[in-house]
Amino acid sequence: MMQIKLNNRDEKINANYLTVRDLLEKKKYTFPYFIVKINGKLIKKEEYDKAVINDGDDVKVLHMMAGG
Amino acid sequence: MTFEQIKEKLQKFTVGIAGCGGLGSNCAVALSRVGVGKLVMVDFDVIEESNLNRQYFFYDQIGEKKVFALKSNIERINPQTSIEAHDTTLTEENVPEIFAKCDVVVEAFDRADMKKMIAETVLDNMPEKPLVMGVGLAGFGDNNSFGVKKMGNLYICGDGETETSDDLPPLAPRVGIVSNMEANQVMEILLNGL
Repeated sequence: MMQIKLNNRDEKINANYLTVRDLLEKKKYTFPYFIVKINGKLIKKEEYDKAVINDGDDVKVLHMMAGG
Repeated sequence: MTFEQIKEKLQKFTVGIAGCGGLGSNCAVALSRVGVGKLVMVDFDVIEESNLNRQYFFYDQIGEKKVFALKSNIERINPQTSIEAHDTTLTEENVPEIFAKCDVVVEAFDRADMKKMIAETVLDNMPEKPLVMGVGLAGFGDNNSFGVKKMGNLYICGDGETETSDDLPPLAPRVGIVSNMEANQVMEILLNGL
């Protein structure tokens, strides 16, 4: 079990090892385009499988929606 | 601050407008009206009749390039605004160069992949540059859904939820609200000091 901040909310995640990809799957985020930051650092799509989220991390996942 | 003082301050600044559709055309017009000195506007597209439900163009401009039509519309509103118009598609490669001299950049794309592209490019290559985005503006009604999220130098205006589709089209009122929220955020950034 680990606890992170996800979009400014405390979130308990049932995992000992968590990548960005795991988080997106666990939270069932379905939009195709995101901006992901861990502790303020930008994580690009190519890094989703490798980027590890640790206990206590501040994670932001922003959906990009079409329209303008 | 009086309007004269606001204009005098804003005159010194340059704002980038990435896309001249619903968000970009309305945001650029608002920034010109309040006295922003220079706008660097970029768009590759041509005006279609379907754009006129929300974009700052006129019926007799259908078929013209958006970036040049917008330049001529702004010149009629406030000839003091200096405008650099780029008829091109923005990419990871040209964003840093085109917007290098801008104090703030406004994301005003339609497509979600383009919104992601500019956000990542700015965060990666020019992290000190404030980027004001518009996300979530489809449909009508629900005025209370709008707000701004700040994440470092990223400011995200909109409802953050709705995505345009055939049944949830982008329309003048909500697109106008978000584009003017973007302009309002730009003013706040510029006038409160960078």
